Amino acid sequence: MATAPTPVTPPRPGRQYLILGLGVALLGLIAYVVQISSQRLSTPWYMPIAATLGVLLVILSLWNARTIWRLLGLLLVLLVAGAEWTFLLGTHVPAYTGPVVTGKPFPAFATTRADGSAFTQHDLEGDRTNVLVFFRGRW
Amino acid sequence: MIELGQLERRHQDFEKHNTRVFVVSVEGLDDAQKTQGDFPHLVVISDHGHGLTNAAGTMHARAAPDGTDIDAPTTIVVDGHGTVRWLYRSPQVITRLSPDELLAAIDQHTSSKSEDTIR
Repeated sequence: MATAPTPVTPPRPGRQYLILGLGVALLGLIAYVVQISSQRLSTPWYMPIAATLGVLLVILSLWNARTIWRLLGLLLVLLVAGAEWTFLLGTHVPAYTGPVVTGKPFPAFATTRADGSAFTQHDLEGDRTNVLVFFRGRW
Repeated sequence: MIELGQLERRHQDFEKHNTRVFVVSVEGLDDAQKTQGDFPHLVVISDHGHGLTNAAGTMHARAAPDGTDIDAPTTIVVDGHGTVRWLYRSPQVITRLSPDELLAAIDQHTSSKSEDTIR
């Protein structure tokens, strides 16, 4: 007795682009988590670039076949890429335009140490090099 | 605070470079004392009166989450004569120099060669 042929699943053209696009976007996020975990504080430009590449790949996938899942995938990577670009560009710090000039004396000032004692430009004088690290605070 | 933790952990390297590390923010004495407790090998400056921040021109207006003014992340190397040797401004709030980069800058900009160049 002849058996009925097993139905062949039709190929889903471009699905690999969907998977690759989502994967690349996710990889950027994972790489940033790894970077922060290893306490490297360089600018993670790779993160929004990866998400943008993900957007392009998902668009390519949609070009091959328009499905609701691919559309949702595109929406997701668009949101991720937008958030990452906003995050990086929104944390931009303006270039330095203040009075400190290399090769010139540090300007006069008066402030306090954490213990409340005075700290002025004279405290920078001596036989040691000084590094002043201005930071944003404890929060 | 990752930056301060990195500097604290590498304090012996800064000692070897005959360098003191002052960390400056506009926070008040209470917060500065907590920071000093967390990072005992750094010299914490409480610039709540903005005397140092204004002199250095490092204020970042309305950049705090509550809209107040805070310091822009900036690193300045000053030699023992009080002369500025190097200034670095982070391009992003989330970007900082690593201790290795800072030590390299100290080596590069406080050597006798660079002093001769500046003079």
